[in-house]
Amino acid sequence: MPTWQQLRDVKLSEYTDAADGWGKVSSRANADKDRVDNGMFAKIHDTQKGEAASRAGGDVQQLSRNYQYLHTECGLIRTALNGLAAELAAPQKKLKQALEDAENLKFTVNADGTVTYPTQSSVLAPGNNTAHDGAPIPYLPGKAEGIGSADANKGKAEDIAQRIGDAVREAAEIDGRYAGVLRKLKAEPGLTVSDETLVDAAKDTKAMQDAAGKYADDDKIPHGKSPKENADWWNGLTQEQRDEYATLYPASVGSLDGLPSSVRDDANRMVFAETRAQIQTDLNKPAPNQYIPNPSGSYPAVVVSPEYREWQKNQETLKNQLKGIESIQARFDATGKEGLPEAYLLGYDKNGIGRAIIANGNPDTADHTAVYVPGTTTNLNDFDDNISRMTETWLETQKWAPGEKVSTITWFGYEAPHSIAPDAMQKGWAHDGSPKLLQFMDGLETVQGGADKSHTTIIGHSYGSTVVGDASNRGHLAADDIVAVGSPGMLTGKAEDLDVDKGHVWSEAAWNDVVPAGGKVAGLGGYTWGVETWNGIPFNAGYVQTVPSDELFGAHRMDVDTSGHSDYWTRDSESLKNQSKVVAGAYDKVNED
Amino acid sequence: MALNAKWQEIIGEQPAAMSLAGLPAPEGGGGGDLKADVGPWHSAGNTAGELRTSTSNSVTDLDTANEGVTGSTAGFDSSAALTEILGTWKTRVSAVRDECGRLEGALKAAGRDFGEREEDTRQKVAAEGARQSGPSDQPGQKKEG
Repeated sequence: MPTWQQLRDVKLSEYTDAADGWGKVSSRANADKDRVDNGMFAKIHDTQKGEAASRAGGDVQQLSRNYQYLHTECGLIRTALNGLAAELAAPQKKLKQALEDAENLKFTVNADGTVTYPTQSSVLAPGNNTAHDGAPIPYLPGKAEGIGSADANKGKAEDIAQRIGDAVREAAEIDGRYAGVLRKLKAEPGLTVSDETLVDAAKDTKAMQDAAGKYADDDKIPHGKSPKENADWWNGLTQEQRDEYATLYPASVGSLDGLPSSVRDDANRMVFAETRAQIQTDLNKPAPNQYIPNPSGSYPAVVVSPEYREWQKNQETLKNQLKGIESIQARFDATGKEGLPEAYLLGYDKNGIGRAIIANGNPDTADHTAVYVPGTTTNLNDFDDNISRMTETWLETQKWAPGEKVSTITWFGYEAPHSIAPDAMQKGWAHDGSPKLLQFMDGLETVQGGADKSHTTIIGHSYGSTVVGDASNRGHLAADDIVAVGSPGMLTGKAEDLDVDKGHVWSEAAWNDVVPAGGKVAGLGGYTWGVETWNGIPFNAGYVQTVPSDELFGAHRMDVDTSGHSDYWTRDSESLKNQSKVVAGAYDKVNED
Repeated sequence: MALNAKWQEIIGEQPAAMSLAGLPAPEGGGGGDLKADVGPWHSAGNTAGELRTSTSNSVTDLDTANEGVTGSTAGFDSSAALTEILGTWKTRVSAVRDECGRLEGALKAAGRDFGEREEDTRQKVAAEGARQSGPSDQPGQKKEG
């Protein structure tokens, strides 16, 4: 516990200077992690085959994890030191004010914090007295003893003594709080970054949120605001403040639409790595006793314990969550493979059916951006296809946009219907999902710097296209082209009603894809007056329901050479090529009806 | 090695020895599957070298940034705590720096063993020959390093 002299003399700038050093180490580690992932791992793991590559790959991944660990922990130490300095400034100021007041009154502040004052009274004999901080109840601390005293200086001295005492106690509380959290931020020896270490890092982050809550609190991060407001908040921060929020509140920062994708990626990967470690640790917990004696005492003699059932259920959940993590990790590891660009994790949540938003290539600087909205039964425990659909689209689009920057994004940011029937027969899932899609698209436009900065295509597959339709009905959809693939309907009757320029709605439906017809049964299409045609031949007229693959709907009906509901992104297929041509803006190359 | 094996198990990578230094020489036991072509190993090795320098700066930063803290903040337990953890981080960051150095050597050596150097030299000689035989530069020569 510091004395009042130590509180007076402490050079708080030493803490902030030290914080700068830790901050440098943290930021450098963050940048170095990217260099390991993209400059080392991506180069050797795929270009080479054999034992050498897998060994080196393991070493390099360990290095990457070390940099991530340094980024997190040194960042927290930086925040602790800044928080300490910022909080100590208040009691130090309070103390200095009290000392100044004492000096002005010609009182002496003693080494133990008591205050010696000359008696000022017409009745008392002249001399010196000493005031201590703290006053007995029922008087007010430090003030009351002086009240009514014959000595006018008594109350003043007691007030000063009290303020000195308060300042020191406040400083001690702050010091103790930060010392405690700093001691937790000890580096593990060696080079291993174990799951336990990462789980601890997550706990450290939590502890720091509590300890430094007065200095940097989550409430200052915008929640439920527009991407523009999020961006304004971010742009108003110093670089150091940004780094602090990103390391202290990675989950909040990672989910903010309107922030730079590289910032969100860094923050989300921190959450991702720590979540993965937590899941692994939980999975490794031993099972409880499987059998217990039958409580009713009759046959059978033993029954499965409730604890065991619970454990079994948890294991199932954890294994499913791990599957999602592995799918995403596989994409990270694929960077460099076949020329695939770096990945950006723009959203991640393990809970329920999960959520993940993954970009191939930086969307902030992309000339062409594609956002893919998946459909019914999308679940993070079976996510490989949803990722590969956009890596395939990225690779194919490269061919139609030579020399231009492309970013393709898997946007699983909504609660997709869990089943075809009854869930996907309802519009509620779309109504819930579309505001999130609008917000994300708006965020993209914000980080890209405006609507004209990137040519943007939304690809809705299956029920995903229903979400896109609903989003378009609901508000301003920040997109230039819409592609509806295997669509059960877009809750609108005509392509021209969608929120893109005329002629920029595209459709793909395989002849044996049953979803478009099923969508009509469910009523996910839209209604319009018109004449329905098949290959141009009229067969029905009136107020009819349409889906995007109907001629009457008025979308460009692109050629499809794949079969069924799920193969529109097969490599080298006409189906994939046509979508990619739209993404590349090579409209005249599209083959259509 | 035990720690590395544990790490592997935790991360779920296929088990693999962590030391490139222990690699069999390619002529000894590389096998037909070992397809190590030009460039990437050297390039990755170079990156490791740059990271060694960068991480070395971090070791220095930790030293200079925390210099003088103890003397100017006497009586504060946080300063004592900082001193306690500083040592552990210097050890850690130094270990990472050394690992970069080791990887730089190991990756380049592996590349050399796989004939990257020879291939590189061969390309340079070829490019040099082309340059001498024609007035125009050869923009097509690809340097993978």
